[in-house]
Amino acid sequence: MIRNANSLDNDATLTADICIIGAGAAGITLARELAGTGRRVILLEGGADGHEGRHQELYSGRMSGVGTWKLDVMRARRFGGSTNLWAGWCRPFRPEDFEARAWMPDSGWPITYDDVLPYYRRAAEIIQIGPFTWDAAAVAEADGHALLFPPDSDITTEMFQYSPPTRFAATYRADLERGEGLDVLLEASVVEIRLSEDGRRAESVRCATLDGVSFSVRAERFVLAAGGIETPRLLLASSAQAAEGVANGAGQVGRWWMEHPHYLRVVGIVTPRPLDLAFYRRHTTTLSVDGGPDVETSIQGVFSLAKSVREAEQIMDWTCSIREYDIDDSGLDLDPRSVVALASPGDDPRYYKLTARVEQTPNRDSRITLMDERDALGMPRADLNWQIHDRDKERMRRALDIFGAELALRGLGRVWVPTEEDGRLAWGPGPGGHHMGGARMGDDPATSVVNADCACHEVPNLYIAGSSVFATGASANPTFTIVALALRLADHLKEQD
Amino acid sequence: MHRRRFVELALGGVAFASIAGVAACRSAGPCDLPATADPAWSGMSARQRGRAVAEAALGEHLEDAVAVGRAYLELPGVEERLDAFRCEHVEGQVSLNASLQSISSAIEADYSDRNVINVQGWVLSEAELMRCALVV
Repeated sequence: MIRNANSLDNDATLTADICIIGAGAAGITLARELAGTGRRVILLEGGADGHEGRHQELYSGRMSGVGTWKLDVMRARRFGGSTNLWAGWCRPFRPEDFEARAWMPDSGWPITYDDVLPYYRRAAEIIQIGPFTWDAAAVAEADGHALLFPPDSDITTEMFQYSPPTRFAATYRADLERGEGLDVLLEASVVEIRLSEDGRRAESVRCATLDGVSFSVRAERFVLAAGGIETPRLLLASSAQAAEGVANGAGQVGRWWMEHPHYLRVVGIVTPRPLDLAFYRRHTTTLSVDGGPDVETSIQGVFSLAKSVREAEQIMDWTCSIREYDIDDSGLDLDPRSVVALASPGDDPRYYKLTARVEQTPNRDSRITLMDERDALGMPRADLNWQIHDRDKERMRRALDIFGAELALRGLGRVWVPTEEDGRLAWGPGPGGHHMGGARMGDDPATSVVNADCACHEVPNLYIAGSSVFATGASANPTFTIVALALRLADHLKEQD
Repeated sequence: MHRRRFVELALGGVAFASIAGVAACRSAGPCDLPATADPAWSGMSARQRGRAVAEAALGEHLEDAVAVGRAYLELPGVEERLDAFRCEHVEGQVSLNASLQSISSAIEADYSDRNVINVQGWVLSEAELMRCALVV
């Protein structure tokens, strides 16, 4: 059943076995999994069925650190959450992305790739991509495409699969309408998590609509799946019983917040011939796995660093897509002479647009806090202080250098990238709209918010789903992993009494 | 043979450690031309040989490349390495072609080792940058 919270009686109290807060990729996945299991499940969505400015405005906040898109821009407060916005890029994390790397401070998840793998396979179906196969070299060979670099190069080729992209509310509306024991409430903003007297148990959430209806939901278990900014915001704002907020005795809520710092620039490459980028453009192919049926899907090759290079150079995950660029139409202030400076006879300057992203080193001081200013529901607005270690900026520069070295080594050209007057790489880290961390997963309650089951250390019946729990962010877009982790959490919840 | 060892400092910045080629060249004494040198090559001054190499390698783009070489020379500690490079790959070679080949091998070794530096936006091996600096 899907209904509007404004239809409820004022001061009503609803009860459920499980209350899920947030109807985005994680929340809808959980609700679908838990429906029909004999549990009463309430799914609360703060936004309406479609975009409404007054709901979206509740997302407004402040950026006090590295600039990203405005807080009310790169996420959607509406049914389906930010799956209404996403572009559909999908790639799983790699095994090493979950591991602690000695040279990467504060890295490491309490779970492994193998723990998540079965859920990735199921998540692939939910986000409507092809079979779970990621061998770019094999796919390129089957398609008759050439890789730009041999597979044993410092620069490797990996691939993304594209989701249509799946708009979760539209795609799974019927499941949510019919879900046995499932009650979906729209325009139901949670404004406070209420705890038991000893503070060890979440007992209810207080909800409000912009039209003046207040109500509460009591449940045995709660799952906070509100996104990478709202999740810590709600935990911090629930301060009536604990001044520091819910699950924040160790002061970790809101910390370790991450994005994918992006490098988006046009670069020059003096090449003896145009680069063969057919595999690196989005194209349709047919994939199958383990003798399964052929499935037509959309993919795109990207460049990455070989694992040995990442380790030797102490670079976290890095990926880069590339496409041809017509400098004459760009309006960019590039001096073509710079790009012909080292041309060999017969080589030509050509321009390419690089979109590279590097994994952030976890940074405790990168965090969400609360502003004094409040929104229309009385909630303190979020202050996003995104911080990036200097080493991450240096690693992006180094990765681009290695990309240039590999092109030169393979006789494919020399790279010229825009620099500042002092010679530094011209780069102000751009955002990807990938909000991660803020309630990170870990074994140590002193440095994390949730455990390997996504349960809050301090409030074990309060779970967190979504990218807030990411301990590190790799360089892959997060939605695929969000859905996989939500499926894993659903299995855990099904095992509870 | 990899003549350079590139050391990347942990928190940014670059430095270059000792160059095996430097030591080898110095131990051999002054950078004399080999006895078997091509007469046309040996008839040139050291500066002329450097210019001949740069012109042959960079052709019509020499002037722009010189600007890159000039920027490279502003990096700390470069002069001594350039002397060693000149000694090994220009003065120590028997002909223009041999010099070009020697430099080409050094460039390939650099790229294989990811020994690259960004100068004026160019991602280049140090040997390539030194080639640009030969006529500065």
